[in-house]
Amino acid sequence: MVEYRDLLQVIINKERQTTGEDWTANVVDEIDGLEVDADGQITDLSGDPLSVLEQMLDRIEKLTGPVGLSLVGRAITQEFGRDLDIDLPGKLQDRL
Amino acid sequence: MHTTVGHSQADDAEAAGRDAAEKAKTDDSRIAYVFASTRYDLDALVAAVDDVFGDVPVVGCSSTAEITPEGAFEGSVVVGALNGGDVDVGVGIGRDLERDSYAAGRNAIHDAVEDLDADEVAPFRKRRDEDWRMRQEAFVTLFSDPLHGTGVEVLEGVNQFLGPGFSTTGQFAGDDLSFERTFVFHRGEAVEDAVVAAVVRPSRRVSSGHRHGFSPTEETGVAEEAEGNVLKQVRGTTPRDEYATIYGEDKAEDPGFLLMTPFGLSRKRAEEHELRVTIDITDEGHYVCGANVPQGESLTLMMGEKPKLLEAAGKAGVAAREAGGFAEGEIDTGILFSCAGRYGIYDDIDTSSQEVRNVREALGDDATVFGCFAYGQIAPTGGWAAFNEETMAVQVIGKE
Repeated sequence: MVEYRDLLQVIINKERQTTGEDWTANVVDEIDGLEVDADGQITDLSGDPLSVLEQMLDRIEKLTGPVGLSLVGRAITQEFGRDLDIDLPGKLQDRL
Repeated sequence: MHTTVGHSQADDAEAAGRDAAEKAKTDDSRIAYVFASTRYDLDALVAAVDDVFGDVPVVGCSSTAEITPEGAFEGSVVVGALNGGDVDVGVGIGRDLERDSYAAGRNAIHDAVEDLDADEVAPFRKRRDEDWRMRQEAFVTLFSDPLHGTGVEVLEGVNQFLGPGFSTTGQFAGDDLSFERTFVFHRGEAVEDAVVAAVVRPSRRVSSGHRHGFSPTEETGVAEEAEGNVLKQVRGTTPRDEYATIYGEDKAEDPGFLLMTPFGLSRKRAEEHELRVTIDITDEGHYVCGANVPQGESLTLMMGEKPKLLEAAGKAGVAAREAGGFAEGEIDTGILFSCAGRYGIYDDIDTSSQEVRNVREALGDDATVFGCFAYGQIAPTGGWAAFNEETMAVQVIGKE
């Protein structure tokens, strides 16, 4: 079963690959409950992981609008498919 | 010269056109620019504007969103009028873009120049002497239907007739991101398959500037096969398949989405990448762009971050002002042409309005602004009228 940590890691990897390390670090810095190392690997995920995922998507949407969310949706679909057995924020579910 | 702006959100097309026109019309109006949503019956709307303005030429285009001094609006009509007995205006139209875009562009600008009262219009060639900015006495505004013909060829036709050095701005018409029918306005008509040109001598100095603010991503490649403005192969596959890998199958053929995801060409000494936006897709998965894509050129997928786009809008205003040697507060009027792709990225009317406010602050808070968001911005590049996509292009008219 997919876990929120897996989803967050895929999003971070995709953002680092596409928009770059600095941009991704800037996004992650604003998110409560999420810590990553210099290589973009998640080192700590605390609190409600669904809330962390929602914060991540909100931050991406705030900066890049529908383009950023589509990039994330595509990355998740490529990695895990469209039917994930886990509660997802609506703005991510809509893009799978 | 002074500028007046009328705006209406009335439901009925004829009522909206008349309402906006009556708010903008003065006793000495010389030209009316109209930008209107395709939710309206545009024949009725433009006819109403034309009826209010009488013999005054009416030009413009259908839009994705409309710009007023108060910000951006959807589903409305804005009319901007330049007024004053010292304003000289010429208007022309070129039809049959589908048959010969080059000839249509050339015919439109030829007829506009012929329509001026003035015998000649001097281009502002690259000058090194101190007073060259003071010679900027006329500007050109173009409106073209992007769903017919080839935009690049339209501009080539304009450039061939006009030569370099003019402050030429304008817009490839939009609709509400449906990419079905787009219109240009010429006197009392809403027309498809045509380009409209206006040459204006406002007896004031004029200038223009543009910026986009898109940032390069880590996704790069080479135009392995390209012909003219058609990109055929990148990273070993078609651009359609490459975009599908990055964004998804549905997005790779969605014109509204593609408008938000340009790729960039790096230019030495240029402050920003030169952008290319896909405006059509062939059956083979090739992307037809708004301007040429040289084969062998390095390409970079570009990302529009809202804060950077907003900042760039302000820089466009500063660039327009400084290009004419104007200090802050010396601008009377700004005509703003922004992209439907930027509007899509902002994804809300408040952020789109912030873009308008940023330009206005750069010009001076008392500047009167109007314009629209649509499918492709025209602004001078290297002195020539050029397709500048995903851009905020600003035409300014000074107070003196």
